[in-house]
Amino acid sequence: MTSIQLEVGYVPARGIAFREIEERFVIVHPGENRLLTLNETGSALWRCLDGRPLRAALDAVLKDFDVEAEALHRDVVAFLERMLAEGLIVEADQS
Amino acid sequence: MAKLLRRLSIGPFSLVLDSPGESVSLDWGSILPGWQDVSKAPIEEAIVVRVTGTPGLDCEGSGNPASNLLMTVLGDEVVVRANGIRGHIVLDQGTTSADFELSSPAISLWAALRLSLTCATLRRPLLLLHASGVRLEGRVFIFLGPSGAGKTTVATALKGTGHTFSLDRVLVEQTNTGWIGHGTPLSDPEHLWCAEPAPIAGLFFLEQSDSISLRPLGLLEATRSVMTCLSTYPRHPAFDGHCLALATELCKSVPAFSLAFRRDDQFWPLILRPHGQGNQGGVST
Repeated sequence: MTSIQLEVGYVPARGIAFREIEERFVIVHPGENRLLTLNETGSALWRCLDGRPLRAALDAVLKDFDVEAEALHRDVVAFLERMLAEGLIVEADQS
Repeated sequence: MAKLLRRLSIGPFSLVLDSPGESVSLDWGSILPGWQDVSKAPIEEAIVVRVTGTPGLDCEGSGNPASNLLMTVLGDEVVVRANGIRGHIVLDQGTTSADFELSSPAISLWAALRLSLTCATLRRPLLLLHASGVRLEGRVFIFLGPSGAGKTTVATALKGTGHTFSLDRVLVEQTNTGWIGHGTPLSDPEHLWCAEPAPIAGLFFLEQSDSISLRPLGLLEATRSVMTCLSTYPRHPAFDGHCLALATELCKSVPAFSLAFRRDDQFWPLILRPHGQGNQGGVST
């Protein structure tokens, strides 16, 4: 059962270090000595993680990419579930 | 009253090792060969490291005691915890004070020193890199890579080309006139390092190969590569953000390359070609 909900807004967890470089986001994983580099779609989504409902973030990403909404939704949920589990994002009202 | 031991300048810092306990016998020379007072210029910041317990002094290469390091940053205080090492570092203006308890012989005093140096760089535009350096024509060429990549080979196999700048750790600093490198005596048993800073000519990430080639790195790849060569412990957001921002700025200003090379010095003509500045859009060779 997914913990990601379309009506909920998500934001980067407090204190997470990230930076946009050449239109890709690099994130320093807290507690581990490793870097994550998001792909183009992931970077577009990360840019939209400003507390707006996930549904609105998905709409914004869809405008810029030629992908099917269903496939994007599936990929985004999987992506955000991982981010949530690893403590990189939180629900906006918990930030 | 603590007994003041010797001090050493590394870049803008003055490292002062201070043993308050008579029961602790310290052989500083076994940690930093060539340990001596080389400070002639005014010191911008003093790092005072006090040690209690019974430190092990010969643990370089016997494991990384900081691999499971936990840091807590509380304002200007940093609490460091790892197996056998417990540190409390206070960042006062102009001074970094560090108290460490070292209880395990597997823990190196060198680790305490490096931790203190890392914390001192937190509030300044400085990064400590796992890198060697060669000084040539007034500039420093910095060679980066993990242990075994060939950093020492490059820095010592000069054959009249240049001068060893640093063998294993280089401090890079952002200044008003650009990025400069500082040599360090860390992991330098032959005391070959150079205390005089120099502008950075380029960053060269080493790859061993049967042939020689130079590939310019874009900003993203260069920044990622620098982050993997930090000799700091970015296990806390305060360190993460500081290091990531500085690494990006460094790679915007200084050309970076992947250098495939054999373990000889035949690559010099290739890297001495004029290069552009920074890595925005890549640099042609």
